[in-house]
Amino acid sequence: MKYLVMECSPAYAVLMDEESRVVRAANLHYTVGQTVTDPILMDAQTVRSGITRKTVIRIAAAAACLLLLSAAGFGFYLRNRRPQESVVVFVEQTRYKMAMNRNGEVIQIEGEAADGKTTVVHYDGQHLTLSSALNTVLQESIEQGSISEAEPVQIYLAAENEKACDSVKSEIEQEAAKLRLNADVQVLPPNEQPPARAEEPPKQPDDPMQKDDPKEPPQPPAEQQDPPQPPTEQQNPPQPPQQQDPPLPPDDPKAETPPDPGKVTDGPGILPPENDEKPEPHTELQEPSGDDKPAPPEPPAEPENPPGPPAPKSTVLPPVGAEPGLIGEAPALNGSEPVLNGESRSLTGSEAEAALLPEQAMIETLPPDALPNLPEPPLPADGPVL
Amino acid sequence: MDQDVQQLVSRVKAAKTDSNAANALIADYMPFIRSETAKYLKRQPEPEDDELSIAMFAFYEAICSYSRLRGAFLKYAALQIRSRLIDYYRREKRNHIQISLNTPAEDEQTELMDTLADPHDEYSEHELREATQAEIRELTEQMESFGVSITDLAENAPKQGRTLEICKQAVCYARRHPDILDSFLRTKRVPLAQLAEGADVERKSLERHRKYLVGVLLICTNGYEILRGHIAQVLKGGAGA
Repeated sequence: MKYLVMECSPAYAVLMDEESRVVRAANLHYTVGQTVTDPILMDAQTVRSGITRKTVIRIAAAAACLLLLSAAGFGFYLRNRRPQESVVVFVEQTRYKMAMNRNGEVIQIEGEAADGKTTVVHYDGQHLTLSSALNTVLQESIEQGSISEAEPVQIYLAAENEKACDSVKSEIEQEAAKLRLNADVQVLPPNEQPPARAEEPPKQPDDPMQKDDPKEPPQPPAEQQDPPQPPTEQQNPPQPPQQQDPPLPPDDPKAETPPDPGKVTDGPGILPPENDEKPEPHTELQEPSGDDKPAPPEPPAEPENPPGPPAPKSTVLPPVGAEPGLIGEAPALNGSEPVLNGESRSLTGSEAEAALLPEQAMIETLPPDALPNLPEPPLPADGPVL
Repeated sequence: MDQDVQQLVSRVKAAKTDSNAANALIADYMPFIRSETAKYLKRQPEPEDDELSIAMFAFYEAICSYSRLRGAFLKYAALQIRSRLIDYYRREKRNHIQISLNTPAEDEQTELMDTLADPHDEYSEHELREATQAEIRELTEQMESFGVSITDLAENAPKQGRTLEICKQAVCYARRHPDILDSFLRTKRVPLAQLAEGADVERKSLERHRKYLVGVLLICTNGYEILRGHIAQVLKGGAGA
């Protein structure tokens, strides 16, 4: 190939070949117009500027390595670090939650005491099997005296895979059998989380008949949360009706039989029990009853009260949750519907207004014959012991 | 010290795009280039030595390809010079079996060159070279009116064979249509749209090599017979034609 020297500079010369390529080459004492045959051309890589192919290859290799490492790390996390199943063991009020990976190894143990803060178990992340981890927890609890062989241990199991769930359950039961523990293993549905606290067994009533049955299964938590009927009975101990009508003469039977509209809101619970039937087994009802007989009604403080209509505070029982200072106000009545013969109905405007009036005014406005004889509400089978 | 390094780097950066700055930088660092050449030759280089020219060319290559990622410039330039000189040495070693014309002849009184018949007419060659220089000078001046220099041609010329073929097709089409060349000389604009449409090539490819097309299209006009003869292969329709 012949090159024609087009330009010369001290360091290089510009040559044009026969295919009209214009290149730079070493100026080996060339002169312009000279034809040369074997010049020393400049490297094409030197002329090229910007991102070279080598740089692109390096960046691509680095990105591929990064992608590979990320994929490997994510796979390792999925296999070893991602909790797939969890076992929750309740020992007394301590909650041990064990998270297991796909391989069935325990990767995390959280021990939480009743106060919710104290960490009981320190687990450094070593991959123990469920058997050894469960053995450790239960053994420590036995040594500390938290559980005994007779007490049942509540264990909740939550797993994504049903097969794994069965195998883990059998494993837990075997481990508990080794330690001679009465383990109650419950498998939770897939979308349900283990409870935060152990279910408290219901307090046994003082009734000796119920004490004789220690193996009574614990009541479901939903039943415990349901308020007993009627709701006002739990928080307001029943008061004798004599307290509410002090001005009426005791010999007047109609003064006691017609229910006061203000009393209707309290339902049948405020009526004194006419028989000796036992109340519903509720723990809160038994606590205030220190004596079998209710406290004698206190006479109204007549010297203190000014003459006139009696204060409504003493006649109208406050609704549930109402503050004493708000007695007689309309919003307080809206919160509780009156219960009559076990059926609830809404108060109309006039009835609500009448409920706010003092009891004396109601007695004056209504003749005694006009008061309807309401049937007595049925008493519960196991009424409270007053 | 740091200021000197910073100044050198800034000069190198300017010399990448400015040939005058590159020549000035090379002239300033000639002692360095000489010393690097002397390390290879084991003697002080003479101005006539090809090794010194190659060392200067290697220094210019170092200017064009330098970046901060490559470290200190002078170390990089020294490496470039040494590599180029080694390549030159290997290349010359390949041709070592050739006998110099200055080798003494059999009678050892005359040189080998004196015994050979000279087919070249030195006088006619000198005239041809002068005519070529005149054409190149005229072409350079005409190209300056288009805002293009010979160095721009070198930087803007196509490197790949496919791109070179596209430019050849466009030049051949323009040569077959003198009206396009007249319009080019008159308007001093490369009719890229006509060339792309007529030669059935992509306009984008022609736009990338617009300065190169200016030089070749000027050669195709009247007045540059020597240069046209040099690239006659192209003007006939390419190597494949």
